[in-house]
Amino acid sequence: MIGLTHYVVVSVVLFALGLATVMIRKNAIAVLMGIELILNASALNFVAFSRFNTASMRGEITALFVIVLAVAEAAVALAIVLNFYKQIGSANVDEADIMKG
Amino acid sequence: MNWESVVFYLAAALTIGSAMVVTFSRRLIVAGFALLATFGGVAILYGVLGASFISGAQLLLYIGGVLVLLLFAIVLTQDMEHARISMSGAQRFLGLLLVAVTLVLFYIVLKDALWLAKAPVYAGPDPKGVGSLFMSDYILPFEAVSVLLLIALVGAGYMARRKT
Repeated sequence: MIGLTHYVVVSVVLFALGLATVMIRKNAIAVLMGIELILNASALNFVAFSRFNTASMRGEITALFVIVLAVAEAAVALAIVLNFYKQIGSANVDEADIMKG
Repeated sequence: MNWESVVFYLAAALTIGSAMVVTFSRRLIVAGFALLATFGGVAILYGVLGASFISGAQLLLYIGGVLVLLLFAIVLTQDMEHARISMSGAQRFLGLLLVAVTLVLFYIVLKDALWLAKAPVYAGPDPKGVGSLFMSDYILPFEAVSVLLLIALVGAGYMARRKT
């Protein structure tokens, strides 16, 4: 029988991989992928705890807000990355060291 | 093994395996397509949990929205002939170390945690419950999020436009 612990383990591994992606990647788009992994892990946790603990669906509402905010964040962040690429000619985060456009 | 266990383990293996490809792959476009499998696996996990509405939203918004945006950004900013992103062995080793340290930390924190985990509660059809909560208790955050989405879309379009 699948219990709450199973879902928490999957979510923890997903979070650890997302954190590693954010830390070791140089490319800004890959860093965004890591952030999406972390957000997925947290939303999975919210839904699992909501399903296993109470009869209410409040955790699922929170997971939906997480998903919608992740979409908005991805749209704005990728627009920033495209602008940055147009200015610098690369999408590596360690080259983003000027304040003036 | 009932069907729930089989589907759960398959989906968990798909999710974690493709997430490892996202973290350690040398080619950015491969990482992007592996992210498709990760989002799909998480959507299946939502389905196993009985949260069918979230599962559908995950498919529509993540795979239909975020992933398409990411792939567009990859093909717009990468030189496809040599799209290998520099990732040295040291970086890869650091990544594995970071994953191991995070897992050990979570194990130390979570091994004594007491959760009041009952059997899963299936409180009626999921989309109906979510919808009525959105229209009653969460009406203000719901409207705030819709305004935020409008602002984010207009802002992203403004920032990404060609300057004349």
